[in-house]
Amino acid sequence: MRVIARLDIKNENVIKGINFEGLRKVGQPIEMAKKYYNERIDEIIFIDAVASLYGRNQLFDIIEQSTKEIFCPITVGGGIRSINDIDKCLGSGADKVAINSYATENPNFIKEAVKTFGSSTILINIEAKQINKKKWEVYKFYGREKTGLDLNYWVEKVQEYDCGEIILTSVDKEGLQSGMDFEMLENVINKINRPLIFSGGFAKLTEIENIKKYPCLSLSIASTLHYNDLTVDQIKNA
Amino acid sequence: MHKKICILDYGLGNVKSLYNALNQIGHKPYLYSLNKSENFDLIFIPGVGSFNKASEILHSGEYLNFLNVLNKNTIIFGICLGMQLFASEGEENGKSLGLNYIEGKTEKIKNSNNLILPFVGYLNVSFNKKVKYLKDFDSTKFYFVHSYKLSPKNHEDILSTTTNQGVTYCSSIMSKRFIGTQFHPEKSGDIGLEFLEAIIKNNL
Repeated sequence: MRVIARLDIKNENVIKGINFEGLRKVGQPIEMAKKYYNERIDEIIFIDAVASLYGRNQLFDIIEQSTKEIFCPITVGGGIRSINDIDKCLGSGADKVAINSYATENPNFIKEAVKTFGSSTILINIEAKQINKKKWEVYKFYGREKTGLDLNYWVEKVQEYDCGEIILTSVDKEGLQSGMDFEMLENVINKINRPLIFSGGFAKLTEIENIKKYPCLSLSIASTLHYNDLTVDQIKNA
Repeated sequence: MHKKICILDYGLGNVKSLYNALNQIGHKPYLYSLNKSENFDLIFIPGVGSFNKASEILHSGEYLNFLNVLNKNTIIFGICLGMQLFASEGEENGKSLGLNYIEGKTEKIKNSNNLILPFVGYLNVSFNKKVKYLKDFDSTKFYFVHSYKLSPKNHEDILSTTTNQGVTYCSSIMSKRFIGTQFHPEKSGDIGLEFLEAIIKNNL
């Protein structure tokens, strides 16, 4: 199980909300990323929280600065909508990119990105919200807008287009620190044959055992690390 | 004497990570694109992307002359796709030619028993005991991300093996002037930087 720190960024600050809303500043991105790296985090994901809304990712400087001193894999997401955007992310020192909103609007873009940069560089970021007992809907624009896409349909589609990894975040659990959406995971995991990064709501070490049951499932954490509720070591040694 | 290290920036992969990593351990690498007619002590071939695309680039233009004529005695260190390219041939998106430094093939990790590809994450590396200065790295974890592997024909060329999801494969090679790692030492934290340092110190 890889333990991944997720830093959501708005206006040069790491922010954190609940269900992607009510965003609060929690620190400086480079400082926090360095801290997690020194604590031996496995990977870091930077997401520009407002990029899709404004149509551009503003993390290039942060990536460029942080990769001078951080030597673990770095993924960048938020507002990626062209081959040129991906090129700029990788050129700043990122290893992988995570695409969400634009992929839901233009699934063919996944294919194009994979063909240009190789499958392992292209991650699909999925935000899903429960709409009834056994059904989850895919959201875009940082959990703000419905896409009409069914989660199960979408995970099959992005794999058909050969994405490298999938990041799956529960919009319902995100930021609450009340536990992860294992119901959603159970519902979709059989359809996934890619490394999966599970995100949203992690709070307790007792959840780790559950996560380790699945092969190639990784854990993405924000609040619980940002608020110092648990350390990287505690999580990795659980 | 100051050693001259070059990174072959041929258009694929994250050149900056490797550049920063070498900087961190006190080296100042040169980029090929700005120093095409120089002779170096060590040349890194990085790379993330597809074998056939890299093959196409390296077999067009001046790269082969740089690697095989101008720097014919230089140590060549391939990382990930950079190492896979050492093979005689690759099968990603159809057959294409490798650099032919290592007899063998770069092939897809076989998907017989429901493997989850790509292989991603920190995996244990078991080093061949022959190389004394690498003994401290035996059974430590390095970062991997790949769906293809280089299978050398000659087992003498294998420097380490790694096992993931029940598949055991060659995770680094060392043969004549060629060193290659399937893993990314530049992305494996402190241990990765120490590994790079050990290779540089003991080969230059």
